[in-house]
Amino acid sequence: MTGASALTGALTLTETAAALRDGAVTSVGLTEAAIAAAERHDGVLGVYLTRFDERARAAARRADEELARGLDRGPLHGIPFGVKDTIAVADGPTTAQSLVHDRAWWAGRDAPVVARLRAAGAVLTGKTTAMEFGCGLPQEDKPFPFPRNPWRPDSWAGGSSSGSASGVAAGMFAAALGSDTGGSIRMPAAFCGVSGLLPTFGRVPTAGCVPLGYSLDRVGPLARSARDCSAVLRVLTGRPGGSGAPGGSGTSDGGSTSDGSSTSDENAAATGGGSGTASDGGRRLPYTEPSFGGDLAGLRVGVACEHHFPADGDPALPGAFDAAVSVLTGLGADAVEVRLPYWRELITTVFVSAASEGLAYHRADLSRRWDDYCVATRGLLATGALVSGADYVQAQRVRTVAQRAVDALFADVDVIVCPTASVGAPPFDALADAAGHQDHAGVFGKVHTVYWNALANPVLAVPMGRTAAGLPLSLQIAGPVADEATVLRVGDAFQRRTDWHRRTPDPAAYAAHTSRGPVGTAAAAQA
Amino acid sequence: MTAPRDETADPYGIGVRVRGLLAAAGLPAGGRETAGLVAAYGVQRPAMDALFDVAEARYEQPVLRRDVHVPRA
Repeated sequence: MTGASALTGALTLTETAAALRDGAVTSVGLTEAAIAAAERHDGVLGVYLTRFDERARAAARRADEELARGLDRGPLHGIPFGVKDTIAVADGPTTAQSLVHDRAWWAGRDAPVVARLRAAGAVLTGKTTAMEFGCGLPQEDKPFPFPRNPWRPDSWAGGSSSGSASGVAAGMFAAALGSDTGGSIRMPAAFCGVSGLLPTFGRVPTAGCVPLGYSLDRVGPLARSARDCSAVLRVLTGRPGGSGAPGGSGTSDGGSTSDGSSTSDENAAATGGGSGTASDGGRRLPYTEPSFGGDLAGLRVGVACEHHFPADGDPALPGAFDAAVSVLTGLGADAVEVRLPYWRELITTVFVSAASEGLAYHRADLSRRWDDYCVATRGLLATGALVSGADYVQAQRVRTVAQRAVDALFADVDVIVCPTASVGAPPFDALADAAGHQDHAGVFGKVHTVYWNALANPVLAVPMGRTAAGLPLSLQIAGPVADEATVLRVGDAFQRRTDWHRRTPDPAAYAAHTSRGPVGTAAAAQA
Repeated sequence: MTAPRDETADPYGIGVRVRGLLAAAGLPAGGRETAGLVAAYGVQRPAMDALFDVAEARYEQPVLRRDVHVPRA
């Protein structure tokens, strides 16, 4: 086996970790394969804003040396990773894919999540593309790469963790960090045919991540499989990496960490120049190791359909979703239809919260440098000026009510499943409305991630089929607050019976693609 | 004497309101973008108003949290 076949083939991160320990691959081999894939295809796909080739090579050599002498930092040791460019990495500047973002912000420092990856031996290959500040759209007159979909390069990779998703799909790294304020992990995971986890709010520190909506932002993993996401989550929460072959001990703890820092929300430190130290107010989320076995006997699955199948959704979606639910019931789960409470209200609360909180962060820059922002970014942020203080507070009161209602729903079911989107990856020209803003009456109204951002619950997106045109479709699996273990267990069981997560795009589909929009460079991105 | 308002084009004064709020925040949106924000506001304002119709929220606490620390000496 070669590093290239591990990354671009069907191996998951955890399988690659096992191959590293078997001697079938080396970290240097994996990293060289990742760099070679980037050299060949990044110009078309727009995965990276900045690459750390030489530092990655050095980290890979170190990983191989450590593993050879018996120092095993766990399943991420020696594995190539990408990091969304809204998250600080000491090796290079954070651009947030924006001309406006202050390059001195967190310069030369690792965000806590990055420090934890590094301590676990991960090989950081570079910073990946993101919609500007996590909320813009690709814009041709800005000096940033176009995030193309490896399955169809005329289509969008999704966002805002665009490059993190497309890079996993294209074999440029085995896993990546993303952030999710309204769906920015799950939507690109869905469109690129990979898995992505939105952890419980407060589970993973957000310090060193450029904020969009303080009460909404979460950092989480994208990778091929649910089990991969579990391995990364464990490290992101500050727990020791353990052995190279991750297993479920089934143990719980009260949130202790390997580096002594908090597992809870560190938003307060993420506002620029924060210390990055713990700030959890004494509240810690219980953490349980997932028990991966494939048997779902007795598991109660709530099936949410009410808002997910519009008349203009993809015609293959109903069949794919029914088949996915059948896989779960075939593993012993009991399915029951559920209605998600306060659906429209929660979507409104996310809009109100993100626009208000985002405008608070950006207003001074917007008034001075309006034209430097992307049109779609400033369109969302400007909407915050149309929200009153009372609107904002009322939105937070409704979120309290809705959280209680959803908590009650989870007394009757163990997980809730629903499609991640009603459509596959859209073409670039379908993203914006007449004003150049995100088209919420169109494509963005068919992405069903936002509801969950208003809540604190964990949600996993996994590939579940293909659109009529052959693009990936995705299943969301939501669980009770702090119960990532059950969500990941269900995702893993599903992926033991399906191979959607193992299917990879044919490089020939994008290798010959002629770029339509400008393809930026790291130097331009950092200008 | 003031000019008559074009009630047909903007029956609820949404355009005036949106332009005023943007200006008050110092946001120099151009014509096409403002038109988009006005159109969106026509949908967003009723949705935000509907949040006040959630009866269960009448006596509820908002999702707001202060981190209180004793300052270090």
